[in-house]
Order: sequence, then C-alpha cells, then structure tokens
Amino acid sequence: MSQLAYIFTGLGVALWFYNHGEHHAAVIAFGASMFHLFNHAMAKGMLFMASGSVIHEMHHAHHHLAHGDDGDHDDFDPQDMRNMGGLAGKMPITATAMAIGSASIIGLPLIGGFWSKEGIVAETWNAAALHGGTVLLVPAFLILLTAGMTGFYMTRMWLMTFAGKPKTEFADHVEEQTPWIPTPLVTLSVISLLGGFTLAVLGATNWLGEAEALGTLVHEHGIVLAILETLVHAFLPTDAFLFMVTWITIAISLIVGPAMAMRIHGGKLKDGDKAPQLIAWIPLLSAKFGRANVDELANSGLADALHRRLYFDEVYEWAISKTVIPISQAFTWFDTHVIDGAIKGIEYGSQKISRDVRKVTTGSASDYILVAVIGMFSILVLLWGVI
Amino acid sequence: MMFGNPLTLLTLGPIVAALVFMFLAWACPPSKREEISQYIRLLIFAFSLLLLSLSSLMFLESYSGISWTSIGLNNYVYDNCVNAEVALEAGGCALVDGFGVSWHVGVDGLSFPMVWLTTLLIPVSMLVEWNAKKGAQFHSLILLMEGALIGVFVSLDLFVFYTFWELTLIPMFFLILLWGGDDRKYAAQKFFIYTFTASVLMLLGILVMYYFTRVPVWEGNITGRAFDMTLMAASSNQLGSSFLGGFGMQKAVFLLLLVGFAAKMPSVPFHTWLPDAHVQAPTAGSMLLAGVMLKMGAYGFIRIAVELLPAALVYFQWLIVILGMVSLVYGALVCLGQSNLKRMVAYSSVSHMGLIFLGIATMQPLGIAGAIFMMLAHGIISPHLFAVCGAFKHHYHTLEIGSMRGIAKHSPWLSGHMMTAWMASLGLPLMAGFVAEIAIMIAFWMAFGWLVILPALTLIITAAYYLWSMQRTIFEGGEEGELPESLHGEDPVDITWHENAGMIVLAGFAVLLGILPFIFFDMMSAYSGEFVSQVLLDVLNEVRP
Repeated sequence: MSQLAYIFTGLGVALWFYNHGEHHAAVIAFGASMFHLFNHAMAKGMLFMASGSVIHEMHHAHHHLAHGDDGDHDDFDPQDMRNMGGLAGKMPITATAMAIGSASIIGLPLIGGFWSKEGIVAETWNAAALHGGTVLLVPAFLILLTAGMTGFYMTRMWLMTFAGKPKTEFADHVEEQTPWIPTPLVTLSVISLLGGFTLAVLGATNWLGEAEALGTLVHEHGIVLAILETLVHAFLPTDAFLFMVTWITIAISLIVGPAMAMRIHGGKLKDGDKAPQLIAWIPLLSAKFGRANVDELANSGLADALHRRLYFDEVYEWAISKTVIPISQAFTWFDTHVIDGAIKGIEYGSQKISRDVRKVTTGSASDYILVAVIGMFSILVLLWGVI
Repeated sequence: MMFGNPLTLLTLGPIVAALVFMFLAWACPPSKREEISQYIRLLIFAFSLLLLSLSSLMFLESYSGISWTSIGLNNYVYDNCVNAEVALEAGGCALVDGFGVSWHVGVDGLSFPMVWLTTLLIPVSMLVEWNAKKGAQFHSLILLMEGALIGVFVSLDLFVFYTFWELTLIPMFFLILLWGGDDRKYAAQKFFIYTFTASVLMLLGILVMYYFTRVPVWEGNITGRAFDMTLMAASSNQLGSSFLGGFGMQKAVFLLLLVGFAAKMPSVPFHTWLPDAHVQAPTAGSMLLAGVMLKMGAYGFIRIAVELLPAALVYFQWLIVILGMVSLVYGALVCLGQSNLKRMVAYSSVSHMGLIFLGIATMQPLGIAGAIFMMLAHGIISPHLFAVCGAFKHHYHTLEIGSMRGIAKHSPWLSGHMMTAWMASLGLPLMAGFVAEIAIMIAFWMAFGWLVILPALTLIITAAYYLWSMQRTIFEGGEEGELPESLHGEDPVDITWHENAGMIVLAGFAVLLGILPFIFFDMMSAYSGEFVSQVLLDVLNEVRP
C-alpha cells in the first residue's frame, strides 16, 4: 500500500505539472509512476512468494516437531516473525530473493525500484521547489520520510526472519524443501535486479509521452554511452538542488533506515550456519551496530495503535452500526407498519363497512316493505318538480 | 393471414395447448391419473422447448433474415397489420369490428428480448419444479402463463394488451393459492386484488386514449375509434401537444398509466403485494413472477406511457426519478433488515426495478437501453435467485437466514448456485447485472451529474445484504456448520439434477450476457437511440427551449 501511495504521488505530481502547463515534466512524472508500478509488481510479487515459502516451511517444521502433541490446534502462528530468525542459512534461495526484493522496494541504487522511485521523488521535489508548487512540499517531505521508513521496515523484516539466532526450535528445524518455489523466485529476482536498470537505460520514464522515444538513447549513442548517460543522469544531475535531493534520499533510505533496523534486530547467524555469499555480509554487518533495547516502545500504546491499524476498522464499523443499520431497521418497520399498514387498513376498513352495511338486510319482510315505501316517497319528492 | 404469423403461434399456441392438457388431466380416470400426469408433464415441457427454439430461430439473423438493429421507430417485425389504418379498413386484422379491436401483433428491439426471455424461463421453471404435486395442472398453468405473457409483449392493440395483462393474473393466482406456502390465501388475494385495482386505473387511461383515436369508419365499426397502438403513436407524433385534446389530458393519462405500471413493477409505494406474493408462491411461480411479470410493468411503461406521451414524461421526469430512487434506496435498506431469505430477494427485486425507472428518467439513449437491458438481466438472474430459495425450502425446510450456518459442507452445489446467483444480482462484472447497472449509472451521470452518488452508494448496501446473507448461510459455523431445527436431525440432501440443470442454464445465460451483452444490447440501443433522436429531442426542445 505504501508503494502504491508513491505511484499516486507521482500521478498527482504529473497532473499538477499538466495543469501548470509543464507538459514535458508531466510526462516524465507519469512515466515514473507507471515504471514504479512495474517494478513494484515484480518485487512485491516475489516478496509474497518468498514469504509464502517461509511460512510454508515454518508450518512444515511445526508439524514435524509437534506431531506427537495434541494435533496442530495450539497457538503457533507460522506467520509470526517473532518465531523466526536465522533462516538465511536454512533457506538460502528464499533469503536471497527476499533480500533482492527488499532492495528493490527500498530503492537501493542500481537495483529495480531505485530508478522509478528516484524519478518520483525527483519530480515531486522539482515541482515543489523549482516550479512554485509550494503546496506540494507536504507530500515531498512525506515521501522522504516514507523512504526512510521503507528502508527501516524492509530491513527489519529481513533481519527478523533471516538474521540472528533462531528464536524458536521450529525456526531451527526449517529447511527448503519444495522444488517448485525456487524457479519463480529466481526468475523474479533476475527481473527485479536487472529489469529496472534496463528499462531506465531504454528511457522508460519518457516513453509514455513519446513511444517512439523508447530506446533512442541506445540507438543514437550506442549501449555503453547510453548506460553511462543514464547513470550520470541519475546520480549526478546537473541541477544542484536535485543533486541534493537525490543523495539525501539515497542516504535516508539506504543508510539511516536500515541502520536503525539493524540496531534493533541485527545479529549474526548461529554458529555453524552459512548463508549464501551474496547475502552473507548482511547479518555480519547488522551485528556491528550494537543492540538497542526497544521493549518499552514495543509494549507502548503507540505500538498497540499501529498494530490495530490506527483503529480505522473500528471507526468504520462504528459509523455503519450507527447509521446504516438503524436506518435499515427504521425503514423495515415503516414498510411493515405504515405502507403495508395502509393496505391492511383498507382491507380492514372495507370489511368493516361491509359488515355494517350488511346489517340493513335484516331478513324481515316488514323492514323491506318499509324501506321500499320510504324509497318510493323519496323518489316522488325528488321528481316533484319534474312530473 | 392471422395464423401464419409466428407471434400468433407463440401467443395462442401455449394457451390452447394448456387448456387441452388441463382437459386431458381432468378427463382421465382417477386410477391412471399419476401415469398420465407424467406424460402430460413431458409433453408440456417438450412443447415449451419447441417454443423456445422458435423464438431463438427468430433471433438468429442468419435464419430469420431479420436485422434486429435496423427496425426503426414504430416499425415492427412480424407485423401482421402493417399499415394499420388501411389494413383495418380493408378488414384484414380486425378482431371485434364493433368497437375497433384488432389482432395486431409485432415485435421490435424493446419487446423481442422479453418474448425470448419468456420462452426461456417457462421450460427452466418447469424443470426446477419438476416434481410438483398434481403436476399436470401445475405445468399446464405455467404454459397458460407463457401464452398470456407473450401476448402482453407482442400485442399492438391496447384492448388485446389489457386482456392479456389481466389474463396473466389468473394462472398466477391459482399457482399461489393451490401450491403456495402457509399463508397462501392471504397472499394470493392480496396479489390479485392489488394489481387488479391498479390495472383498472390503467384501463381508465387506455380508454381515454381510445376515445381520442379516431379512425375513418370501416365496415362494422360503430364507435369510429380504435384501440390500435400504431395509430395512436402516429397521431401522437402528428398532433404533438394537442394529442388527447391538450397537454393537461396527456398528463392525467400519464399519471393513470403510471399507477398501473408502477404497481406492477413494483415501485415504492405500491410494492407491498410483492413480498407476500413471493414468499408464499411456489418456486416456479416466484421465478415467473419475478422474471417476467414484473417486466410487464416496465415494458408497458415504455411502450405505452413513454412512447405515446413523451411530453408528459419530460414534465414528470423528476417524479420518475424520485420513484426510482426511493425504490432503489428504500428497497435496499429494507432488504438489509430481513431475516427471511425469499423476502430479502423480493425486496431486492423492488430495488433493482427502481433502477429501471432511473434509467428511463435519464432520457438518454444509453439510459433507456440500460433500463431495457436491466429488464432482461434481472429477468435471468432473479429466477436463479428464487430457484436457490426454492431449493432451500425444499431441502432444508426453512428460509430463515439465521437458522443455519456453513451449509457449504452439506450442499456444495446449492452453495455454488447461491454464490453465483447472489454475486450476479449484486452486479459482479462479467455477469449481466453489471452491464445494465453501469449503463444506467453512466447515463445518470450524464443527465443528473453528482446525484449519481446516491445510486452508487446504494450498490454498496446491495452488496452488503447479499454478502451478509451468503456468508452466514454458506460459510460460518466452524467445521461442521449448524443445521436448522426444521430438518429434525436428518442430513440434508443436495439439489436434484433438474433443479441443478435449470439453475445452470440461468447462470450460463447470466454469464453469457455479461461477457457478450451486445447480443441483445445492440437492438435495445438501436431502439432507444431512434426513440430519443426522433421523438424525445423534439419534445425536449419544445418544452425546454
């Protein structure tokens, strides 16, 4: 959801540019958003796949070890990260894939999401600071803040699951078993790693406005120059302000956020476990930041509120139960008693009138003769003038 | 000349056949009654399938040679009395010369989908309630309904239209009275008297229109007037604001007709006969009532009130919007508060028919076409809903939503059909209901702007009551689910193969029309496009320059 917010920010900035006549910038911002959509799809898809793999294997391990007990009705939650830890050695492919996916989402330079994320951040600050869109300063600061938080939470997730010592015996017992999961993981890893860069070199952020422009850089200048040009454009933008923004974002998302996470959740793997080369350095690095004790924070009201998703669901339920349900009950009552009541009233009324009027027919001949005589006189009176 | 017409066959054929079969069922000796009943049932079913194939062949342009999208306004296909004035004079299609009643039939883009729908629903509803008691009489009554319903949709003479309109009430009355639930007497009487009273007001309107339709005196005609709708349409087009002797009379007649049609559709506040009638009716009766009879009201409204009195429609646009909106929102909210499954579905019918009024009131080609498509879509989905309810009653002996949980385990097919029907009715894309809803919403936005937020929010409530009832009944209840008391501890049986077959056909068409709506939507939008561009635009320019 947070990455989708990035996409929407990019779209909003694109529209802002469009409304202020900067069509070229609008196209770039729009292109960056769509590009981010692609990168996010690849990376997130892989992250979900990898999480599924971890949960699956945790479940397996739990079954394996706990099969002697009262079945699997105890409270073990295979999705709970607090039960995991140190899985990098036990599930190498998953761990690597997860690391690459996280890097793409965080916006590690050169990997996948970096290109599109930088595009969005740069365009937002471009609009906010350089084109007079001061109202856009709020989202501009927010996305910097979010970049930091993204770095923090993705690193936290990876470290809690894959680094440190196993927190439960089940985590210790896990091993990568299914043959089917690695294939998509590897495929998506490759796409995440290289896809972003490739598309950036091909000019993906510009193609939405001018589809023919895709690949012009490579066409005109050859591939080596195109790559260099893209790198220079991203890391050494000519505008000083944008240069600052780019490097601040990189610093926040790559260093500040992950460092905080490493301080809280880092740790070397258990002795004897070996993680694959590509990612082995991460647990080692994370151990170097020391340890911060966040127990107080973890048990605070803020943590509870965050856990309950800032009580949005409760608010919705309350609103509906106070508005829609009572109205529905009122209308139901109204329908049965007032509208149908009117119909029942007509039924009752007509039957009552019928019962009362029926009483005129008494069955007695003398009554009938009396009525006939009265009637005859009435007719005579009425026609008096006419006859 | 009259009887070579396939529409005449579709109308009178079932009526005559039904009477013959009823006679046979009555005349056979009591000892053999059961056996003969089975044969009669099969014969009736085969006959209805024959009629279905006839109407489907009419539909296929490659077979019938009719281009349904290029019929043109006030032109009809299989019209047996083409140039009415001349033909009536020549004595060709007159039925009762004395006061100008003719046997004039024809279909166009508005009525043909309804005719086809009727021919589809009759065999399907027969199939779903195959094993009804006194099967020969039951199925004969259904066949009689088919004839009467088709008669309503094809007749272009107001007298004959009214006759068939009232004729549909009779078999339905008997279906509810003899095969209905516990409170059937009350429900049947209420249904009959209520809709009959409303129709009498409609008759008043029809008679006023008849009074003003002068024809050159033809042989045998005493009154110098005729009931023929095409003649009325022609004079409405010609005379414009002096049709029916002035705009005031047009408004009065429009309101009279509106009462009759609104009670049939049904529209709030004339809707209270529907929940009782539906809850007490047998499954096939409910299916036909919701599937086709309600559409008669909408069809009549478009064909008679809107086509002949467009200026009055423009004048009363906001009244129609309010009626439609109230039906939609109020119907949905009342649905949320129901605990009887069939009652809930009945109110949802009220709600969906409100959308039809909204579509017509937009006076956009897309809106009117959307409204007509909603008639077709609801006509396929609603019988599916009622078939599911009927299966519930049959196999679980109860319709209380709260009395059971988690039946997916016991009746997978029933649960599957419940999900399909429920999702189709709440407007899931890829099913027919969505196409109709989206067309009406877009047209509503075009005509009324931001007011569309109200029907859009009501869609959420629609989804709410459907999903809530579905979740409770199919899914909750843990591993074993909870079976209702009414089963008295027995195990429930899943649906029989004929219930299943009927429901699958309906589901199939709901999906087909959801994916390929143009099959029928094209002829509907041709009709509405012609109507708006040729008739409504002129009226709108006059009334609001």
